Amino acid sequence: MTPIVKIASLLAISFSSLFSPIQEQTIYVTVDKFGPFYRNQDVRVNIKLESKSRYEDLIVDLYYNIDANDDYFLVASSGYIDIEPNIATITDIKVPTYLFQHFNPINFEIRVTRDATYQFLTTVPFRLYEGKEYQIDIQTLKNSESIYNPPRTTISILNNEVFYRDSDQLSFKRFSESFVEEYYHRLTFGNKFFFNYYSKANIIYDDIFLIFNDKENLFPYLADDTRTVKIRLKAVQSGTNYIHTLALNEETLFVDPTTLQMSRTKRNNYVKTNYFYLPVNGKSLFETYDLIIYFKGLGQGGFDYYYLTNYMASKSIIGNCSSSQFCIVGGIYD
Amino acid sequence: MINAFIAMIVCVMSFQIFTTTYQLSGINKTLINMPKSIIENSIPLEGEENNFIPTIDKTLLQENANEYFKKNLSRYTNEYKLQYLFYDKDTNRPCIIKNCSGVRITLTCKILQIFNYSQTMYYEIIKGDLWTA
Repeated sequence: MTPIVKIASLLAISFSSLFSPIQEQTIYVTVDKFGPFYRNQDVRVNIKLESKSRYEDLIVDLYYNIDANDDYFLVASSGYIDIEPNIATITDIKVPTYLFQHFNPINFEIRVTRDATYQFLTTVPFRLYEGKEYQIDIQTLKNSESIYNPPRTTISILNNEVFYRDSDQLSFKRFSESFVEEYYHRLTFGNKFFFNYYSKANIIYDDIFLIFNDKENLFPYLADDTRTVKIRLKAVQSGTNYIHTLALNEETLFVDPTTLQMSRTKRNNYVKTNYFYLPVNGKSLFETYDLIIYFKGLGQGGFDYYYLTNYMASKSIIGNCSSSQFCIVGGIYD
Repeated sequence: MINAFIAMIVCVMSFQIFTTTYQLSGINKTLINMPKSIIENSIPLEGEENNFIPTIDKTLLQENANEYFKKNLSRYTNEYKLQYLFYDKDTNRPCIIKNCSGVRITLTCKILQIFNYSQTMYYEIIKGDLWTA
């Protein structure tokens, strides 16, 4: 490059900087979890701000929009915030869940403002849906749909980009109709209650239980004061990534080897076990019990799913030869 | 006089025969009619393997059977001997481990201190009629 060209380019740069507006550096807004939120729920969310520049006296405001005229109303605001270059600063803000009484969904905007100049530095729009506390009957899903899309209720904001966490799907087509066992001995879950969970992330849930009312007092050491027995389960992958089934997830279980009476604490003659046994001579009674498989907080939406079923076994583990897996035969030994 | 004597001897012999018969049939009945629940209650039904195969616990069976015979033989005799032989029903060889699939119980005693009584019962665990592998 000739010296004259160099000088001319330098002059052009300096002139352009006089007349073009000052380019503001980007402020990144991140909200880790935004829902599901329920009507009138008292909740505050953490908002993280990051930038390569230094800012003083910033304010984070939450606006909502109620009509097509783009009129936004301020509903929540943080205090003054200073951010240092490359250092994340976190503030929290109250979510106006009372608005679900009037609107669903609600159009929001997070606006980061420099207080001194009232200038919007960053605006992040998103839509928030009311998180209803659903209890979903799996039998309905089994009969009606192949793929179930849970309602959209949760978003996350990462570096000014809005992600709607409704991408998971469920299918309960292969969920067993009944809790059928070949013989009355112990509960096995693995080859029965298959369900598909489609998501980029691993399956998430708060808890899974098998619940029943021990009306015939078959489990005196497991039932609570209301005679309810809750057996903790877990979801395990079966084969491919999205196919899941259930398995026992109790930490400590003990059993009497001859009566098959279960207990969560060690008792005389009881041994530790990884199975859930059914007490001997209780087949006809246990088959009258209503069993509920309960998923608490399943999936991104965190809904509860339940399945009402009953137990059936064609024979006992030991007893009459015609109706049992094993039997005792004997006689006079010559 | 002689008739009375003969009648008395016949009475005594009848009574002895009756007592012998009662004792013998009682002991025999106690052994043969031993309920299968004695065996079933000696089978630990807890097992960590996927395909559960029940077996007889030697200690449990001897405890249960001894208790049964002690309770039910006492009206007939207090002197008797029980022998247990545990075996594998598939190979018919003596079973030396803790749990086995077959047992022979031999009861030996004296009737009226004269006659020897000895009888053996066997019990085995087999698969039920509806079993499919």
